[in-house]
Amino acid sequence: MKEMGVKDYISILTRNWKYFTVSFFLVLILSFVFTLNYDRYKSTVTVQIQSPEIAENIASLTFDGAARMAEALADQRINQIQQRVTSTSGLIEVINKLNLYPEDRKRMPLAEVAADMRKKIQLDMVSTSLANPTAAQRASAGQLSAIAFNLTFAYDDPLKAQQTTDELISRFLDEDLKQRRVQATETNAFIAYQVTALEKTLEEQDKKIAEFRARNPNARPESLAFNQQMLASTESSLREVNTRISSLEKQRGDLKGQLALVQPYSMAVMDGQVLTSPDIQLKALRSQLAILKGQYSERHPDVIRVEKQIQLLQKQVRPTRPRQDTSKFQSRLIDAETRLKILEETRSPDHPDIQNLKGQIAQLKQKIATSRATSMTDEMVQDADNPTYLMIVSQIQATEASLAPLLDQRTELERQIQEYQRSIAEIPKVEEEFSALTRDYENTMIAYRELRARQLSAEMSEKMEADHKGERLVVINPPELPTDTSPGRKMLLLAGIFLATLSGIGTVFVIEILSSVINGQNHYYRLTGTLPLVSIPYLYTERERQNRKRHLLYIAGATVAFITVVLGSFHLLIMPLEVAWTLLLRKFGIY
Amino acid sequence: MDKLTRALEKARQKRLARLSSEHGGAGELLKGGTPNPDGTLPVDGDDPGSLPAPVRRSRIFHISDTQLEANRLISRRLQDRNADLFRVLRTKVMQEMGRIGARTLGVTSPVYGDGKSIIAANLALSLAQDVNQTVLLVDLDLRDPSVQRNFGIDAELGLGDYLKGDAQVPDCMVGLDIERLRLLPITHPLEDSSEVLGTPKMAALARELKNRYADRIVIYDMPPLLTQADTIAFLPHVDAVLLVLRDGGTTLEDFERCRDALANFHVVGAVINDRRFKLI
Ligand SMILES: Nc1ncnc2c1ncn2[C@@H]1O[C@H](COP(=O)(O)OP(=O)(O)OP(=O)(O)O)[C@@H](O)[C@H]1O
Ligand SMILES: [Mg+2]
Repeated sequence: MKEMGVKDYISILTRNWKYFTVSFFLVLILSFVFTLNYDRYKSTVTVQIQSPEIAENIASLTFDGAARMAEALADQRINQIQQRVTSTSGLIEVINKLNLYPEDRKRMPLAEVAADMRKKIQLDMVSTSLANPTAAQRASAGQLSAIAFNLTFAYDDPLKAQQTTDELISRFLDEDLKQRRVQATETNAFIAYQVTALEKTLEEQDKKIAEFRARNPNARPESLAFNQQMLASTESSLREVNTRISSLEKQRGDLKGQLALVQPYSMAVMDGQVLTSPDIQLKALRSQLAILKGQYSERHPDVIRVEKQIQLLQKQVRPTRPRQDTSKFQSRLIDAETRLKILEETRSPDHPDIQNLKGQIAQLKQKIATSRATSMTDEMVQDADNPTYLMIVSQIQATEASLAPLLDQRTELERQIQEYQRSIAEIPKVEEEFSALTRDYENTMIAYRELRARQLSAEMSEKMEADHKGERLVVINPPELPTDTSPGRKMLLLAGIFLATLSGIGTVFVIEILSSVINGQNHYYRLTGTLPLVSIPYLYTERERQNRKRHLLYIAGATVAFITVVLGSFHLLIMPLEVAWTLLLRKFGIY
Repeated sequence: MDKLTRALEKARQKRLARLSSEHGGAGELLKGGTPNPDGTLPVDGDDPGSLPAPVRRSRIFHISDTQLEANRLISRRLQDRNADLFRVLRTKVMQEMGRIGARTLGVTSPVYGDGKSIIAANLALSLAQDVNQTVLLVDLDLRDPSVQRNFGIDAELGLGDYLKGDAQVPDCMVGLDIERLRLLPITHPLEDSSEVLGTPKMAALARELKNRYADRIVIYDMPPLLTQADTIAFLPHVDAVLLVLRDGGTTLEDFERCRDALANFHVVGAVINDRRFKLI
């Protein structure tokens, strides 16, 4: 079996040319009629979306990203508005206003008519670069990111199509304006709310800082140097006071040494003895008593008298306490304090050694204080009558009197030193806390300022919307009266010719497939594997040849006559041919 | 049968009437200086004595080119593409027949009007043009005899007379003023001839034509293969078969049935007739 070749297909076509012709012209005439009756007109309006706001906000982005973002934003907004405009109620308004679909309205509920109408409304976003070259140029220069969209409406009457598109787009613009005004107001309210909230926060933070300041009057970061200076000067004062104290104490110690050498009492002689003091008198009396008791009975008046004297003296002589040496404590105290100072320079204030030393120092000071308190009263004999003694005592008393305020001063200085040290130690912590507070405050302040700026611009834009100055949808191509159907009649006719050709070919091939007759040598070959001996064509006789010629002439003549008659009667009865021709050309968009 | 006899009777009367009226015509033809002096007529005279009927001389008909042309018998033309086609056919058929040693060829087709008669006549004419061949064209289509019509002759006797027993085979043959071509026509259509081809008489005819004229090629213009039952009955008496198919007319079904029917016979090949409109 031989495969079908191009030649076979052509031979099939030529063999069945009659079918081809019939089907071709049938479809052609049908498509012609269809084209003439076709009435679907599209009216389109192009609207540009100018959005300076968007351009501002995303100026920092790359153009590509900006464009895409702007596109997405615009897309969303346009879609929203479209939904509003093409809502059933909105469309019904348009239908009633322009009296659209009079036929359909008789048959269908309005909502359905509106639903049908919605399908005829088409909205296409057009990105700038495609919209027009100048816009693309400006866009690439970063001047704007404008996007356009096309709104199209199809209707079977060109004028109505245009009017409807016009109506729809004006509704669209209205809706857009309304929405943007609402949006601006809302934005404003929101920003105002935020401003108030921030103001409150600021107030709170301000108060916190004030409180903190009150709590830490010295502990301001700037007081570190001051404190250190103060500490240094206080320490030098302390050192001075200490030297003075120690010199006074030395003086007092010297005086006390002198005092010890001087008898408080004036000289008294008894029994050959110089009785200087009650102690010695007591001793003498006791030895006298012991002698008397050996000589006399207990009842002896001498014995009794001496005993009485002893008793008296015993009352006079108070038991003596060991004398404490304050200077010993003093040196220990100085030693401890120097050690503390050294330690404090190297160790942290809560180091156990420092704590320990501080405890020792406190103890020593206590001891010194008590020993001094007693020294004045105990060390001195109340009833001393020795003038030298009394003079020394008075000197001691004077020394002590000048020592007392110095001691007080020293305690005060030490306290101050401690205070300064503590302050200095605390400063980093406080500083941190303080700077955290100020930082918070400053941040809030920045946010607040920004928000204020936005509030200003929002207020401005709201005002602009109210004044119709914020118009951003611009009709760049108003809807035109469609002159040709959509798709155009020329296109339809071309499609018709194409379809006719297809249908001719299709018919031929269908007939070829359906027909089960032998078709030509090749077919025979495919059936049998051998070629026929010969293939004889139609054998014309001379008569047939002539007849055929005559026949063709007749047909041609008849056709011409027929066309002439038809055109003539059309010309006379319906309209002049030239008018019809012009009309026809216009209808197909050819002039 | 009644019909058949009546028809034959009618034919005879007609023929007799014509014989008397055309006597002069034939004579004129002979007188016209175009007798057939060559071997064809004397051969007819060599009838074997076994045949009872008296020997009659075949008439010689004048065939004009216009007559042939009007009936699409164009194969004698020179420098004619269609005639060339028939010459090609002639060659191929002769080759094939020579290969299998055949001398009689039946031309048939699936149904009526496929062009058997035209192909057979043109082939016969073409063969006769070849100086080596003497050709006898026998019309076997009893219902619609076309040899007489196609050649425009008006024979007195034909196959019908032979079948009726009124005439011998040689008497029925017709000579033409075309060299080496004889016809065995059917003068009148025979109704109810459905079984005729299967009769012994036909077998005898076939035998006689084959044996007596050994140097001749006999071409039978047969009835359609599928519409007439006795076509097949006669096929055993022919040496080879030429199948005519009509382009765009013969259905595949018919073609298949023909192939089945012809499976046991020598088919020299097929002719596709009436090839349709062609650009390439
Ligand atoms: N190739 C041809 N060109 C033109 N006409 C043709 C051709 N072949 C046949 N015809 C016409 O078709 C008709 C039938 O032809 P023809 O008588 O040869 O066929 P047939 O097969 O012998 O028919 P039937 O079966 O009736 O005898 C005739 O009119 C003839 O002229
Ligand atoms: Mg025939």
